[in-house]
Parts: sequence; C-alpha cells; structure tokens
Amino acid sequence: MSEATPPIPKWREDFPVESETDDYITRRDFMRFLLLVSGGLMVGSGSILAKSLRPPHAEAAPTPVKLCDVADMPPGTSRVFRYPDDKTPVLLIRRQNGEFLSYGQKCTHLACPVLYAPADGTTRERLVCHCHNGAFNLETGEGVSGPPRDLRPLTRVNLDVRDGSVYAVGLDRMPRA
Amino acid sequence: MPIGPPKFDQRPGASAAIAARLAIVATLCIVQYWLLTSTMEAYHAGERGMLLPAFLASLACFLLAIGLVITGEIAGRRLTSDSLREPEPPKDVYIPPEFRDPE
Repeated sequence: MSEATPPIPKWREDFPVESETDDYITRRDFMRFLLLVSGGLMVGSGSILAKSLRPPHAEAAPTPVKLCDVADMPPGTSRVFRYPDDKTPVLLIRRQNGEFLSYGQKCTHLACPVLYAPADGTTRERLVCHCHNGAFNLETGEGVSGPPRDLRPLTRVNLDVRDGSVYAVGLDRMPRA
Repeated sequence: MPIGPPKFDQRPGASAAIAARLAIVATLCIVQYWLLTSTMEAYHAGERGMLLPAFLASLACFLLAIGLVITGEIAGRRLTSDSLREPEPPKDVYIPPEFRDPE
C-alpha cells in the first residue's frame, strides 16, 4: 500500500532546502517578479507624494523643554532626545570647547541617523552619517562631504542654557523651496 | 514514448523577444529606483514641486512594464495553445503494410 504524497507547494519549489533540488527561474517568471518590484517602487513614490500632501504637524511649542543638566554631559559627548514630538530624534552635542549645539538626527539624504564625531588627529569635530559616508559641518549643519553636500542643512534646534540646565526653545528650519 | 509538443515559444526570434522584454522591464525598474531615491531626497530637502512629476513618471514606467509583461503572456499563451493542438494526420501518404496498424 502506497500512500499518495501531497503535492509540493509552489514556494517549496522556488525555495528548496537542498541546493540539488533548486532549479533555474525562467525569464518569464523573473519578468513577473520584476513587475512586482516595479509596482512596489511606484507605490513608494506615491506614498512619499501622499505624505507631502498632508498638512505639516504643528511646530514646536514656544515653551522651553528641558533636555538635561549641564553637569550630565562632559565636553566631547552627545545624546539623543525627542523634540518637538515623541517621534523626532534630535542630537544634543556638547562640543569639546564646552558649547552646546543641537540638530535633528535625520540625515537630509535618506534619513539615516547622524552621529557626533569628536575631533581626532586628522579631522575636526563634525557630524557623520555612516549610511553613505556623509559629513556635516558642526557649526552650521551644512553637508560638507558625501551625498548631503548638495542638500539642505540639518534642522537646528535652538537651545537656551541657563541655571545649569539645557533647554530646547524651538526649531530653526530651512525655508522650503 | 512519444515526445510531447513543445511548451514554449519555438518561433524564430521568440527567445530574443522575451530577453528584450526582460531587459526593458529591468531597465524600467532601475529608472524607478532612481526616481524613488530622488523623490526621497527632494522630500527631505523640502522640494515638493518635483514629487508629483516623479510619481507620474514612476507610474508610467509601471504601466509600461505591465504592458510588456501582459503582451508577453498573451503571446506565449496563444502559441502554447497552438502548439498543444493535436496535429492532423497526413493524407495521401503511402504506408507500407508492415507499418500499418493492425485492423
């Protein structure tokens, strides 16, 4: 008595466990897959367009928001906070000379996180994006190398340092084109 | 065991036509990828004016890719159904008695 073997599902044929049972995909199947990719890319462009059509969220409230105490951050360090809402990361930097600066952490190229890089023997203090090896000027937030060089500067967070604490007091966005 | 009819397009140039369709669709995907990255860069830079043209271009690429794939599918299906049709027996052909089917 031989039992009927269940049919092999299509996904199992396409992604077999053993390499010996793998086979080459036909050009026709590959073209169908590319059509799926094409649709995904089109939807991606459409989603960005749809996002741009939504009304912008409210700007930061003028009331100061305390980020940290001065004593909590030694020179040459940085921290990440959320400002002006709970979704937007900003980078608070204390430069090696003691000055406080803050920028939005999203790279203006493809929104990768930007990190603070202290000065070493060869380079000055700067902000770096490791996704595509971009770098930003720490004083101005403008891109100085990599893809961000031709793009807008980072969004700057205005700070107020008083009574031994650091407060965020608003955003300094670049005007839209 | 008799050999079955071909299940793929055997007309001259059919393979080249499929390869050409595939190359064009792949090129369209590359263009769409470039459009998507440019759109994202423009969005982050606040340049909202180019988002709609970029989306329309991506949509046009997608529709073109759909057209190419559908025409390829239709051509392949028509040919497969033609080739799977039972061939008609030859007429007026002399078959020696030793090769004839027994009555």
